[in-house]
Amino acid sequence: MSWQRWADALRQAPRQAVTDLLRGAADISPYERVAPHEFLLAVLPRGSRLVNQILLGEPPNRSTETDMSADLSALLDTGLSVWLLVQREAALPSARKFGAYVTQVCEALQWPLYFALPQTRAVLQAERAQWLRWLGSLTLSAYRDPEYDYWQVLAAQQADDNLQFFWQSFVVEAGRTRSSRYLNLGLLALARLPLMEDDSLRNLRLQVQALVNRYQQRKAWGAPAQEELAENLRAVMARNPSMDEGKYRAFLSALLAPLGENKAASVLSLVGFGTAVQSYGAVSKSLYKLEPPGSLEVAMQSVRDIKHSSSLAQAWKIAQPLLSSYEDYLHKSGDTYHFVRNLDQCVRALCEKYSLRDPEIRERLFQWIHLSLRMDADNPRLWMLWELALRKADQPQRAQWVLWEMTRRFPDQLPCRVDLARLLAASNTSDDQDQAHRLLQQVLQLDPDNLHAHSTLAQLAIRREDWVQALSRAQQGLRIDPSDQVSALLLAQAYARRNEPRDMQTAIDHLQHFVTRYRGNGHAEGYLRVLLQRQQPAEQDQLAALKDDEEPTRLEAAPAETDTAWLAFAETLRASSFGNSSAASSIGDADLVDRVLPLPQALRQAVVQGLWEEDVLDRYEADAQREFPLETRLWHYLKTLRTDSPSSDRDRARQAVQAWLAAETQTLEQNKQGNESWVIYRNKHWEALSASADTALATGSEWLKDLLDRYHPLPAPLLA
Amino acid sequence: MNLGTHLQSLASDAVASASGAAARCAAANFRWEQAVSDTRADEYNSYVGDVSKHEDWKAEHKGYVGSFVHVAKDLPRSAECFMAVNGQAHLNEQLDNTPLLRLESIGHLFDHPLVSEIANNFWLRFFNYPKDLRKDKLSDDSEALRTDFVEQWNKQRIQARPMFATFLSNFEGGNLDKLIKSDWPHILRDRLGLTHLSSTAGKPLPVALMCYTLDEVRQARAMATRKGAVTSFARPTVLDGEMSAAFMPAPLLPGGKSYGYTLDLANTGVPGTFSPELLTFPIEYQSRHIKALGFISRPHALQQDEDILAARNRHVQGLQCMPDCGNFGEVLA
Repeated sequence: MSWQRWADALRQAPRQAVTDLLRGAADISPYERVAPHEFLLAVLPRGSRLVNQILLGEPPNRSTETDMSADLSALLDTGLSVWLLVQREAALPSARKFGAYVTQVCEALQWPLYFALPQTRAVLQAERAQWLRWLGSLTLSAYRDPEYDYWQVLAAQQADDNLQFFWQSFVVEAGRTRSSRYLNLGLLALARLPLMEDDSLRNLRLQVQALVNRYQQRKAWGAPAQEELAENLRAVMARNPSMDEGKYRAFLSALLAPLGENKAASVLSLVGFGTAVQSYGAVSKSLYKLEPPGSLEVAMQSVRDIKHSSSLAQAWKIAQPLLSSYEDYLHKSGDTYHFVRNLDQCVRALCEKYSLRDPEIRERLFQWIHLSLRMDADNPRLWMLWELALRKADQPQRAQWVLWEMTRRFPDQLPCRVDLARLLAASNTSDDQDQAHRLLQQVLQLDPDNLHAHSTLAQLAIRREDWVQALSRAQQGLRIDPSDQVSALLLAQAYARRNEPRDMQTAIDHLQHFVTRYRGNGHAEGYLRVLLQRQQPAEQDQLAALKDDEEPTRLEAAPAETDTAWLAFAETLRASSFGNSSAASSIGDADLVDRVLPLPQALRQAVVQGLWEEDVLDRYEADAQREFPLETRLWHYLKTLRTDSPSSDRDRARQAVQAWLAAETQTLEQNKQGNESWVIYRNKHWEALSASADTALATGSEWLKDLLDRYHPLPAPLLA
Repeated sequence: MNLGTHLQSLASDAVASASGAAARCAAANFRWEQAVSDTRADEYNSYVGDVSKHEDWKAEHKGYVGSFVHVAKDLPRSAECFMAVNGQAHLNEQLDNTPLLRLESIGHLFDHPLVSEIANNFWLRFFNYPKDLRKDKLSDDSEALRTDFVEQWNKQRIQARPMFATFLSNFEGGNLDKLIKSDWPHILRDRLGLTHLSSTAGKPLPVALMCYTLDEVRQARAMATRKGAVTSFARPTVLDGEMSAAFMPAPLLPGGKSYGYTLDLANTGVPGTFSPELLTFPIEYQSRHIKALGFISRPHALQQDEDILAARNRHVQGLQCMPDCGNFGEVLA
């Protein structure tokens, strides 16, 4: 029974004893062959466990538990909390020992899952962003993922429903940006939310709603998506046998209603509920339907009132109660639609009118925006709203990071690229200006008539005194929209700044013509006056000053970022821009032969490294591949271009991509999802790829990288 | 097995004895092990490196087991014991199909806050009705409960570690029903040398009796393509689990016929027969594999260091009586 020697060591030096136990150096005979947490379950007092139940048939205690080990859990708590904090700051071990180290960290996170360790729990709950950054860097595979174990600890003891939306998003994201294990974790965690006496079905409803949300994102799969939904519903019902079949039928019918009558019936049938027979006493599904707090008309009136308000305080008085009531509804129902729609409209109206200088209002608004993004991360409007709010809260650097993130997540979205390019164009560094130029070229590839892109390019050209380009871009802008004041101004500016013979007069003529034709353009009229004055030689001194005024407004140097979550976010953006999206970059994936990256990252790595001969996808189950239908098909096609595949294989692979694109277009049209930008984006890239056999592989590889870049977990500030 | 210079020194009885009885037993196991190939031994030596203390060796050994044997479920390689590098310890793949037994400790499922309710509901339903566990089909509710429990259990089994098992034919004349009616938790714990499945004061350990077949193992390996496994069965070696005094290597017989032989915790004499033990390629559990539920509520007999040392000596003496095994191991004074 030498484990008692370890217990003595724990009493002497808790951190060292914890270290020894985790690394396997402790003498804990006869428990060497079980995991440390199982050893602890055997030797720590029963009362220190989080779950302490007597099982049916359990033999009566032959001896009462002695006090010998009563002090151990507190000592373990002290040792473990320090161990975790020390490890978080320590350098990572060598690649060869990395797997064993990660196993230790995963094991350490089992202890607060099984035992009441208040110090450790407090340490883990604080600074969540830092924990996630560190744990994320240790993830080796779906089954050696310390981040999963961390969330599991948080799920085990939930004093409030603050984490509810993480669990819901895990259910939806599982298999895509997180491993499929997170689906089960999300459901089990929702079941562990605090109970509500006035709504005993809440936790059950949230699980079902999360599954419905998941289905909505995958309905294009057809039957497999319905089967997955039904299978998970059956498991949830098996864990909640408190309602009979009739009540369950009504309950599920209410929650499945948004799928449409046919699909709901089909899912119910797969669950095992055949056609309902109307009978006396049948439960109505309306009993289980939660109504949103207000009508659409009331919400629209609120938005109008915000627009007509006279102060931030007044606008807030309108927005706050409305959004609070929808947040409450979201907590009860798990249904995101109403909250997201109202938040988007109200907060947008408020931010467009006021700066967010009031710290209380600012904090609350950001909480809501973060919440909405956790719930509906695929909605670019919400990301733009976040960016807008950050700008209005005088946080331009953060706003810029959000725009960068958008360029990864939404390769088809042009407004974020234009906005980002404008911000970068205002910078002094050539790097930023090059980036701006690149972004605008991307925009013009998808939308050759994008006015904002042409005008920003004209602006950039003026700054580097590339007059031909500046004039050309400004003229293109005016061709697209002859009434565009910005293009007119830029054209005049380009002439005036070039200042070759007759340029000044040409600039004046252009502006004169513009302001005559399109009245009410104050900036153009003002600049015209300046140019007219400039023609008078006596005022040369003043002209010099005016010339300086024409320089773009410089961004004031923002204070250095200190928030760890934002710093972590910025770091991932930097890593991404260097093409390294893997977390444990300090070790290097090449050394970590045992790392099983999520499918998008593995595929991206293969593309970047040109590993066309490798059967990357063979390592992933069909379920995992189904999550990425376009990417996997494109990969197969590109492989046939790179390798000496027979032309029949190549044609088949090509047709598979084409068929998918056609099927997706049809689905989007049927569902009336006006995702026009996505269809244009896809088609343009496919056309570009198909245009030339010589460049198809290079073009396709770049496109595939862009597509794969979309899949990564939310930025740290949203997880904090 | 072939150990590097540093480990060889640590493995000598004189050096190991100074670190205590557990270290002495572990070191002896390395000296006696015959089934580890030189290639695997080289790999092990390289991983462990130049350690100078027994406790560091033990820690590095655990790291090796965690990295090469208890591999994560989704790694593209299997546990080392089923790979070509462990060929010396591989068993005959063509064994006739027969039921295997395994004792599973499942206490952690009842203590896990996220799955304890599921586990408890399962226990309440089936603990007193082992016959129901053996039925192919139950009522919808019971079937859903059983299926959900097994699924959740499989989800907790995050490693594709080799499964230690024995043959049903060695217990109660191969009659499962009879075994279930006996005190199987303690019988199996003792016969299979599972000292780590030990109840402590006031904490009986819930266990499950699992039964699966050789064919199911073969099928699981066949499904796990690209994991590099070349066999479905191997005998356990000193490298396939953490260092433990309760484990003892067995003599290596030619032709893939030599199993591991477990240390019987209840035997007080020199054993004349042994319970065979083998490692099987991991399988996902299914409802039908659970045959009974029970408790280990009594400590085993070998609680003191000297008791376990004496039991090991008797075990070695028994092994030395096997044909051509007279030189195997040594009695530790």
